[in-house]
Amino acid sequence: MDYLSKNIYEIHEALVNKKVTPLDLVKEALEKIKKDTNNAFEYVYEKEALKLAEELSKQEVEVDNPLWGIPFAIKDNFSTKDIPTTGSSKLLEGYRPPFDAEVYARLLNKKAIPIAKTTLDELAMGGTGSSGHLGKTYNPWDESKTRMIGGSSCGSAAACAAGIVPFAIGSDTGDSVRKPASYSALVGFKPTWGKISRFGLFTFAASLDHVAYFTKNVKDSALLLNVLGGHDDKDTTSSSLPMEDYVSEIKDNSQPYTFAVIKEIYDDLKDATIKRAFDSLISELKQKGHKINTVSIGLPLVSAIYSAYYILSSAEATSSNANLDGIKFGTYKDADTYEEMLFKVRTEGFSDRIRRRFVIGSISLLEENQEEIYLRALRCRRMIVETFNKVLESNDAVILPASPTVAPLFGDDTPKKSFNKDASVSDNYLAFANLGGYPSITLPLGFEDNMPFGVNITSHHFTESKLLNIAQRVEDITGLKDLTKK
Amino acid sequence: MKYEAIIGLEIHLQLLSESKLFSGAPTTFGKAPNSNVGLIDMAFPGAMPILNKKCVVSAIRMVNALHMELDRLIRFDRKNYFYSDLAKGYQLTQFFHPIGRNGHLAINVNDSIKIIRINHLHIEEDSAKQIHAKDKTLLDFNRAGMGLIEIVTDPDIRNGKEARIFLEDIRDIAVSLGVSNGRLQEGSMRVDVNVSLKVDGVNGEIVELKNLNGFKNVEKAITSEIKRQKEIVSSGKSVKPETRRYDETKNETVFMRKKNTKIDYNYFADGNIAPIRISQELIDEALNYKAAKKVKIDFLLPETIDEINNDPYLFRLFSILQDESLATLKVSNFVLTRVRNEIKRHGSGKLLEIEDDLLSLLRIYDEEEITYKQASILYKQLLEGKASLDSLLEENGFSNNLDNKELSSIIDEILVEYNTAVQDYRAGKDKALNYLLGQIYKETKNKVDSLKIKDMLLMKLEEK
Repeated sequence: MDYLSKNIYEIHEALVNKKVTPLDLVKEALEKIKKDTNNAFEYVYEKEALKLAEELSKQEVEVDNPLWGIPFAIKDNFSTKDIPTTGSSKLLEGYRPPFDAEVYARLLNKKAIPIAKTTLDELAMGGTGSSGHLGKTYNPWDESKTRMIGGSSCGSAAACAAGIVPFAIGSDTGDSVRKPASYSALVGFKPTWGKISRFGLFTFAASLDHVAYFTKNVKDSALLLNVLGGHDDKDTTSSSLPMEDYVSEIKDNSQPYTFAVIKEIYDDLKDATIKRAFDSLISELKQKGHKINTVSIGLPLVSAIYSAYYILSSAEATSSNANLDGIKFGTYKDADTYEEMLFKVRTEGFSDRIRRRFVIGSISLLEENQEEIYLRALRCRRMIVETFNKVLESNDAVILPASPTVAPLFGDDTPKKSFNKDASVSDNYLAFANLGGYPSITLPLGFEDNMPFGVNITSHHFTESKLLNIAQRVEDITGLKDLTKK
Repeated sequence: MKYEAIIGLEIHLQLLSESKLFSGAPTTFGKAPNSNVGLIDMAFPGAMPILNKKCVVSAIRMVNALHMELDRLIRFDRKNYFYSDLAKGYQLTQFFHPIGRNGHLAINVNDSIKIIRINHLHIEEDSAKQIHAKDKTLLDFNRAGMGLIEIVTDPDIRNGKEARIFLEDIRDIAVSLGVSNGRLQEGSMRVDVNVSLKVDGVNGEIVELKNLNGFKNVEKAITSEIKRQKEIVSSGKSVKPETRRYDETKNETVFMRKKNTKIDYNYFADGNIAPIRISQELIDEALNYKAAKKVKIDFLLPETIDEINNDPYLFRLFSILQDESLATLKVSNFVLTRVRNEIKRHGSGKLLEIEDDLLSLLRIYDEEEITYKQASILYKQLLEGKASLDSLLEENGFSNNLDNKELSSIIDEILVEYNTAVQDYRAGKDKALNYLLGQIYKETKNKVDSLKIKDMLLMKLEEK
């Protein structure tokens, strides 16, 4: 019986009704992992998960705890005590951290069962799911293995889309959960910056990093927010605002919402199928009494989103990853001097792409360039955020296709194509929600030649309850949920 | 030619706090290498910094004492550079927004007042300690992440004496406010000196003096460096920008390294520490330090308590004794005689240097491991700077004192042996008591306090 393709609540019900035990679920997951060909895993908790599942199977099912006994996967840039954690970087091979990330600890506390650490673009930098030390991660929806699932949370997306786990934890610094979700028919949710503790998530760019996750539907996303959200003393940037019960806050009402469609991004859409699907969603929303505003914020500002994101994230990344010197943990290389040692460790430990990003980051922070590059990017960020703040003050949410295409073919994926003047703004805009720290959710919108594509909805700071309600309305319209590639 | 020396100081003070600036790891001194280490101190991926309130309180006190403008929004920046003693690859510091700006300190030089302006004061973290062995470098992260404040003066100092007086005043302020123990020799206070020579109104190149390990050495180093620069200039050459240290035996500064082209630290704001607004409550808490933490000891006269609270060093010492439950009658008596004497005669400089040993001395004295007489001998030797307490205990043979059980059995033996004296005492002859005490003293050879012997003897005589 295939239970793990179901959503969390369905599996929970099966557990409560004793149709299945945690041990059955773990065995099913491990079997699926053995057969899986998508290269999604860094580490599989074979013994650990079986042991935990055996213990749980002897206990009473916790009927009020839908995460009890549910297998999950987590991106390998979350610190997990005594479990290998590599960030998909060669440099960190063999590193076993001495502590648990907060989100992981909370899931363990709820008796959810970790089944695997998943692949990512090296140190979460990249959007192709192909730059980690294990190579490409494939999209389960594409049997020809020519299309990416996107990144950087490629392994978590693949594990969830392949029905190995009903939910998987990722991180989103630019669009690293919300873009892969679009390419794999999943719900990908990133709450407000500060809503979920980042303690134990490898810092890439602190001001942009978010804990995010994949689920099969909106309700499961709300459930996870109940568990993962809320203040954590170990992360002083985590918010102290009160939590709500996000599951029961999703109400079956007909409250009308106001949506903003950003004109410049919409106008950039070229794929007729995606455009048609989006248009028809918009007209259904209108029909149900919601209001749609087309808002123009100017092409220069929209084009600046990706550039600002790229400069700021690279600048922060070069500093955040300066701890990787092989001295304290990770791969050490012997040499005569400190400089030589550092050079060896970091040249052999990182891929070209990471090194290039570090160089770009360093250059943009040099005193002679700060004004021209880094500070200008910061000013762009402020202008972008001020503009979207205004949009979100007069609209409940921004709604747009999450990607202008289905999952692209592997190929030339160097960042330069995102910088040239023909760069597609509809392919590179999602980072506005990272620049502004807004809650943002991607959900399935349709299929083109059996490949999925999604819609993204973003609302104002700490309005998760409203955003999840809106997402539920959209999910009700599309009817696209609980999707697994069989 | 008209010469004028232009001198500025950069002072690092290690903050007194039980835990580090950004981690909960303890700051206790002398622990095994790499045992006082929190996750962030060793920069494990995903570790996050949490700012220590106590360190902020200390910084506020210093900002206030130095008449500075307080920035009420605390922010930290990353100073990026690679070095083996820097775990994160960046130092968390306050580059863009130091907690204090535009202050001053008035110093008394030859009975006239001189104002030294202070440019800024900021909070930052210490690096790990490097130990260079023959073919390798060892790293001890116990020091990594300890809280520091850096005080940077404007170039208002003109000679070595002014620098010394200024530094001593900063030390006294920091010590009396409980901010730092300010020991230059042990590195809890560190000073870098920038010296340049203005010749006929034209500024010269700056020479940096480093590794100065005593207030007098700072003065001497500056004096000799000014002399050196004058000699260079008057011989028609020019001073090169470089870093020099002070050679005590030769009384001259010695070349260390050329000043590299300015290092670019790629400063930018840290995103893992949310900006923190300093509340009025916190400022009040910081500035009411003395009132809130007055020394209170029941058995001392009010005049004595006043004296303690008004003397910076006695206040400091009694605060520590109080915190460590060491402010007992006998320890207080020792401090108020011996230590007070030293303060009156020489000030607190020497006492600060031997403080750790002094506290250990008072502790073992309190625990009756040594006698008053022995404690006095050791104290004198510590002040003379002879050796550490441990080796002095060894040398003097004070480490084999008698414990209560041993004393008790000696007294029992004496009571049996001199039974007649016991009978005499019971018959009312007081002299017999002194006789018995004399016998016990002979037997115990000054390894027990006489008062304690008397107490125990009287107790036993009552019993029998």
